[in-house]
Amino acid sequence: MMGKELYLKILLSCWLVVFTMLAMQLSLNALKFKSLVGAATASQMQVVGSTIESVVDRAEQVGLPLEEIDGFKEFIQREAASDTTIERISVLSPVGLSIFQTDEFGIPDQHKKAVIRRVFSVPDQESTLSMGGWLYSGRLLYDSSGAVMGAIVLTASESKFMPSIIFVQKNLTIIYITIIMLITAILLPAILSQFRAVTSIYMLLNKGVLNQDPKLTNHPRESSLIAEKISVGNSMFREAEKSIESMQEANQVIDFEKANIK
Amino acid sequence: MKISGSINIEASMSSRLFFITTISMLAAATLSILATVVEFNYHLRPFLIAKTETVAHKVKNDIEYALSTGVPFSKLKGIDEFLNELTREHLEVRSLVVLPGPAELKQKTVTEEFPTMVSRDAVQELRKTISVLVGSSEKVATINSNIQSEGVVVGHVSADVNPDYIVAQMQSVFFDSFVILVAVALVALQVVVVLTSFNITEPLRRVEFALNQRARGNLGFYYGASSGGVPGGFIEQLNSLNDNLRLKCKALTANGVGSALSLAKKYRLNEKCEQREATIIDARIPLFIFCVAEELQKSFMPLFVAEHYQPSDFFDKSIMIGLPISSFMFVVLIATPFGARLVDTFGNRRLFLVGLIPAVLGYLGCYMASSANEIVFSRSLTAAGYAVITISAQSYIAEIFVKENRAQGMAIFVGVLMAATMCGTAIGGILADWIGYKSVFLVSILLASVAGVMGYLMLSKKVGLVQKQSNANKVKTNSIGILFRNTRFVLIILFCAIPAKIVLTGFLYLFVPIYLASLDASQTEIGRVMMLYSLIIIPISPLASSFADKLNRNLSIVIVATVLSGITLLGLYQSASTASVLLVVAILGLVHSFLKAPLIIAAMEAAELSADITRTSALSLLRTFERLGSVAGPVLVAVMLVWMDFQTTAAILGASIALVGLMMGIITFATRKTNLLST
Repeated sequence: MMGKELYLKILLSCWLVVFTMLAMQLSLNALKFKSLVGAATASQMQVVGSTIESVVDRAEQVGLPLEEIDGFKEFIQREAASDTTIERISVLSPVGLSIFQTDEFGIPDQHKKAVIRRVFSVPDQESTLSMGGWLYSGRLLYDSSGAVMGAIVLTASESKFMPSIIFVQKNLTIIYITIIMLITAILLPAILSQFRAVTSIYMLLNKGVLNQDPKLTNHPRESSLIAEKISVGNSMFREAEKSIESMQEANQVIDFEKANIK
Repeated sequence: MKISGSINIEASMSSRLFFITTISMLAAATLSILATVVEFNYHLRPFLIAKTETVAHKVKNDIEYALSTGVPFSKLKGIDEFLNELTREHLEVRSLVVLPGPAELKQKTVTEEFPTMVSRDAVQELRKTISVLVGSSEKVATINSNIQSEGVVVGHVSADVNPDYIVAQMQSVFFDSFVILVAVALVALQVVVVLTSFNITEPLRRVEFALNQRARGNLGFYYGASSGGVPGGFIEQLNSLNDNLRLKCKALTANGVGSALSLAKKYRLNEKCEQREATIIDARIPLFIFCVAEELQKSFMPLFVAEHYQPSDFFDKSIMIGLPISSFMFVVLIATPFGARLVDTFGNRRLFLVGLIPAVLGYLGCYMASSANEIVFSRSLTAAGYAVITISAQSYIAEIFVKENRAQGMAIFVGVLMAATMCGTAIGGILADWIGYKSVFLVSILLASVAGVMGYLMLSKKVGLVQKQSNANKVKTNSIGILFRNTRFVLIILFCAIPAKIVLTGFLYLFVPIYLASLDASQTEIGRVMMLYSLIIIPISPLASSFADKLNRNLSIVIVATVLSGITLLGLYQSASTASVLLVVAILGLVHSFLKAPLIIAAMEAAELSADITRTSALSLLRTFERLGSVAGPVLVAVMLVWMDFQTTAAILGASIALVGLMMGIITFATRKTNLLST
């Protein structure tokens, strides 16, 4: 019974550690997978981004400002339609104002500030931001002198790749639960063999202080030393008890004599 | 009566628990990493194939557009350059070709329904993933797309998915999973330490303490009966037996038996056998949680500042990006000695909790910041809290350790800081990716609050207050002045502590990344090489400290480690490869495992030679000078790199550090000899 208490505590501790480890790993891996899928989707959208950029570059080379490119809105609409991943495309000025967009919605107002900040602040040409169920992939446009002349923001709905993320998460959860069960099964015999000595300490403690068996040869090292300590302590205790008893006897004799004198 | 042997149940239990936990964690880690990579490999492929398909479609559309303007398919020019440019730009595509005639095969690329791990051939997937991880690339998919002109198929685009890209991606996923795993294993390890301590080892420690007291003839009241279970019941039984004796003695004393009083005194029947309640474990979890909270922002701070930079900010954007880190270091440098003085006056627990106020306000400031100026101010505020909290936690450990385990105690402090740095940085980067930069500061506030609650519950009120009166007298004296007159303390600072920090910040943080970049190592490879240092120190440092405690020669260990760290850097001379840098960093991690905790102990031992010096004052001065070393390191190495090449810089830096260590050894040896002669 007392062995069970110890084994259970140890098993629960190990189990909790493995559980904590795998639970944290699962949640972080889910984030990692989402970020990988997001990066892959953004990279896919950037194929269209680079096409738009090359058109803007050609116009800039002949001195045509971005705003004045003829049929540019239709062109980006056609490009957006060529890739089903892309929901909409916006072309922004260097201060973040929308110059062209494929539909009337553009970038939602509640995300605009964060998207513009991210697109124009990163040192790289491409940037990605996931926000409120939307994936934004930015691409800075540079003029011939290397100055930023605007940016393309390609938007995709996360619902396109969410099933894959949920599926991986579900699969990993099942696998991790299996791992926990497997580890628990392996742990049991390991705990039983490793903590035999400690269990014998529990058995010693459970026997009671004064009921110790003087034959300690069967005990493992730790418990035999504990038993020895108990035994030394018992001798001390009995010595004190004996002294008190003799005092009590002497006191009783004195009381008896006093009563007789009276 | 004598006890023939002595054991430490706590140590015996801890080593067994550590063994069992390590085995279970390793098994779980191996299986989970493999499962993760298999899943990622299987489910990421459709996205890479989709990208290749998009590139193929782009080529098809562009060619069809050209054909629509009237250019015949056979007369198209510049196709090869166009395709080469696309292949260069999109790494997911290995080859792109445009061929006449229709395609023979059109592949379906995106899987709509995902088979479960169980339903698909798990063994085959595992075999595939392992072969990908070891770098063997096999053909993944070919995308064909027909090119039409006026409704007739005139040619087709054929695009191959790049298997090398998949190999690189999966290897990156593997290493990332490994990093995540190391981070979560370190967190889990903190959990197991506390859990087993409170649940399993502590009750047995109390039993052992009670039995030791009883064997020495101390039959008073033992603590631990309330902990329940078998150990609690046993202590209760001991107390009840002792109670019986106490009552009998009390009755005898009441009856006027004078010898009963002396018997009660002899067996300490009326005493409460109080063991030292505070342990090193107390400070471990609150400090770890707080440090994780603090390190969360490390991976994205420059990007965060860049995002919020306003033209009205103090300096130019390039300067502002680095300013929060510099201001943080500067405030920590300034605030540490003040923090130490406050710890000596108000006690460790109170200061730990008070330090959280500026720290949390700083995080809140970063969350609400709209300019780089506000971020700099907020980080400085957090730095003040960080300085107070770390010095209070370090001096808490220093206050309670005994001679036998002092290096191990400090190794816990060092290990907690390093583990928290690793976990916090790795987790912070991932969180920022997911919830955005600003929200990470909310996570920091949450974690710092949890650290506060844990600190309130776990840190002992008594620590810092036992010596409060004596400390109060000591702090009135000029501890800095006294310590500066302590030759041994000054020598340790100058010849060991500062060189160690120069090696850490100058060599590891500045030299290694630049040198590896010059050797064409990728950013990820650089990160992994640098991480190896912490990965070696975290497990080795407690073992090295245990060795230092057994040897009881902390200063000698520090001197040898300083010399060896210098010699290690010489390994880079005339050896320009990523592998040699990796080896040097690994050896440096090993050598520094023997240096970190013993250095603190050696400095404190030296400080104790001066009268009226508290451990906290010594620690604060050591930390302040270590910070100075941290600042000097990059500057020194940067200046050297202006004049010399990488290998000469490493060699000269290494030789100088080894020389400084040797000088320290000679001085210590000579002084010891003189001291012995004078004695």
